[in-house]
Amino acid sequence: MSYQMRNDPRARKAGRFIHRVQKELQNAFVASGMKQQEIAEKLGVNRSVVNKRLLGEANLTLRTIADLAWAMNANIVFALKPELPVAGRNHLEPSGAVRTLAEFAPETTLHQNGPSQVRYETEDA
Amino acid sequence: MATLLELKRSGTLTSIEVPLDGDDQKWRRLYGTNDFVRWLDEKLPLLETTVVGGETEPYDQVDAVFHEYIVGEPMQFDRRFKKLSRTPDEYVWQFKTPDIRIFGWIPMRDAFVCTFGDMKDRIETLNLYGRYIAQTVYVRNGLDLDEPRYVASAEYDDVLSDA
Repeated sequence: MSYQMRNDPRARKAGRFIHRVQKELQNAFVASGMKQQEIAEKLGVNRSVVNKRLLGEANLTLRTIADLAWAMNANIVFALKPELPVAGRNHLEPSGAVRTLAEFAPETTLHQNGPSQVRYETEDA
Repeated sequence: MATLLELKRSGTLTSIEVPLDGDDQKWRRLYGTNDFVRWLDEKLPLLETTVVGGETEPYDQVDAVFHEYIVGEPMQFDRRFKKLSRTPDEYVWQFKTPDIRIFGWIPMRDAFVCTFGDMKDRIETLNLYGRYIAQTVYVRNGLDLDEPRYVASAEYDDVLSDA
């Protein structure tokens, strides 16, 4: 049996985008090597404010994201690109010669357990 | 004793899938107990965010963190996937979103079994972490799952690989 998450595409797009922004902020925070207190002092806010923003427990505006980036000495990269038409597949148009492992065996996963051990589990095996 | 896939085939566990975006590939496997999937399908959609000015509802938050896990994104520095501290260590892990905590365990690298989910505020107010850890261990011990039932490690490379 399987269960498919079923939120509507608009809400899903928003949820995943906000999630990604929060993740990028966390990654930048770790990469900066700074403490939350240092960022808070640089921004002139309480440390709890920084903590909530980094944890995603406060609403983020473009300005607060930019301020955090400034405080952490990080550049911002933002881009919007056209959606690829089919989910879960490689795209080498126009030949369509590449197929994914999932297309050959939908329930097959490949795991690498250490340097030399490769194990397959297949639903239909 | 059974493998994860045999437990899935028998209906003991349910595979949880997320809609993939155009350039996504499925990398890690996510399962839920039947009770968890019932909560996911029936209760979670009714919950509302408690984050002041929050722009995403709990169901969408969970979709986002499940998507991150399933497509194999690096989660090494991500506070939203972490092992719960306990003595002795029970190796119960949680997914965290701004509103939701989801408990479960790692039966093998790149696989996760979800057991319980609840609102973060409720868990903290009623101090339910210990209860959910104990209940997760109870469910894990009750499954007819091949040994070892869980990965007894918190090392990132032991529990996750990245796409």
